[in-house]
Amino acid sequence: MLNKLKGLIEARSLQDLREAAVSAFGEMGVPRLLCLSPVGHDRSVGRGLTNAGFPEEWETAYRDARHMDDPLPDISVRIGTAFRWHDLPSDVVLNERETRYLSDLSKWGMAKGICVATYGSAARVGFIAASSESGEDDLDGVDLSLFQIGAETAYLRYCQLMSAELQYEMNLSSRELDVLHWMAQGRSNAGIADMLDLSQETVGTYVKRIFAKLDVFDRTSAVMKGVMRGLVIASDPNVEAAAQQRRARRKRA
Amino acid sequence: MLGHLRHIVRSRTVEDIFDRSVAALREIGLTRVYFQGPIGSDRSLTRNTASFGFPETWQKSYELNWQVHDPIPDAASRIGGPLYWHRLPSSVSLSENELAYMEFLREMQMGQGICMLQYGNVSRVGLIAASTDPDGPEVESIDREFFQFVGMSSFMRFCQLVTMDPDIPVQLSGREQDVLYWMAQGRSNSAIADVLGIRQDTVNTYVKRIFAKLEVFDRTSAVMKGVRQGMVIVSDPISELVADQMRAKHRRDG
Repeated sequence: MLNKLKGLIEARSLQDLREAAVSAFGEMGVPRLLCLSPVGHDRSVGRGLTNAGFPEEWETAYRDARHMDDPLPDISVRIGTAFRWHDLPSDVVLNERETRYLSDLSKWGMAKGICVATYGSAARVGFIAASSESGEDDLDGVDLSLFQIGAETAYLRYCQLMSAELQYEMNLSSRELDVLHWMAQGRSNAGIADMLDLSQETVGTYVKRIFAKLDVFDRTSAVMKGVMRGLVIASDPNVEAAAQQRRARRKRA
Repeated sequence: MLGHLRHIVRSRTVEDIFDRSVAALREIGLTRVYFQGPIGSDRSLTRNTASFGFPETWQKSYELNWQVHDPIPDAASRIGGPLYWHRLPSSVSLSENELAYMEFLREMQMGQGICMLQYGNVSRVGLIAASTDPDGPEVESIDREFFQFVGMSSFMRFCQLVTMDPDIPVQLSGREQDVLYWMAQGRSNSAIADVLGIRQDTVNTYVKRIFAKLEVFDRTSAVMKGVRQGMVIVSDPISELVADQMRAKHRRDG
């Protein structure tokens, strides 16, 4: 099994990765797979769909309109662990269209299955789902934590391959990176000059150079491009720091 | 080996996760390990470090002096997988202070090692780093894939155990989401008004409302917050490639 998972890391192309995933998840006992990426709050924003084994009829309907009704990616993102979609957590609230979508799954032979959210660089989120050939199998034998490790491995590799495809030239100097970091915190040139102990003109020059190198014309686009290329880490340490403080408080109490 | 991973993802406490991950890595010869979090683009925010086997002196002066000069998390973010910190990619240029930190690592007998960023829900990012004994085998001879599995499994479990309050996600109206989307593309208010076919005053009002809801005071912070909360998707590199090609073609065709 571990070797199959290593096959995911070693995949050299997206095609390779697809084959390695079919093989690794096949070994876990799930022959059909699909991946959506990137996944955000807004279902209307284009999510790439990779389908390995789910019925064409479903795929057509899904691409056409039904992706708007699919609650599974949102639920996965919220709970953060793999679950069986025929056995939803009790606190999930569905609207009418979502309920109808889930009941329609059986008509496509996808009544039962497992899914999970996956997390990659640049705050990118994916969604991986799997089921048996008939979609009627409970998949009791599938180890959900192993499934999640496999899904996360595949998704990290997917993100890596996607970025490698472009072979960005990382040509920002470390001072320019510093400036970009502070731009991402929403600081003005004057604020950045203060932080880095530079004159405001110098910061202005750095900012112009960053724009030129990233081929953009404004701060927001520069920061977004920086996030996409891994130059800016899109995470909010304050969020986690707060969670850790709560944990510490609970421990003391 | 698979047993080790299962063991990690069944940990009941964060301490368990650390202990079990350390045990798993020891099995493949990585006898020294540290975990760090949270990792963000702002290096000056405090990171917690849990170190197992690395010198106490290193950890103390890291927290006091070196954190802001540590280039390793940034370098790892560009790789998206395991990185040997004694072999930073040539594209990473280090400042004087960063070079000094790398020198300090060598003094601490931590010159060689492997690390990776760990990605979790709510855009959480952590870092796991490990090394062999100073007089032990070369780090590069170690099973890199297994290190990655341990890194992923441990953070996966960490994010499950250290749950975030189910933040009431900020609710933006459909129109506000449209405006935020175009803000993320770097459009000005007047350009957004054009694209959406509404008046610029109306766009101004939407922008103000978005700022208020997201509790920010500028466009870039609004967009970054949107990214973190999953309201703005950082576009896939592939779509950017296509867009770049289209722009280039456009320029050629004049």
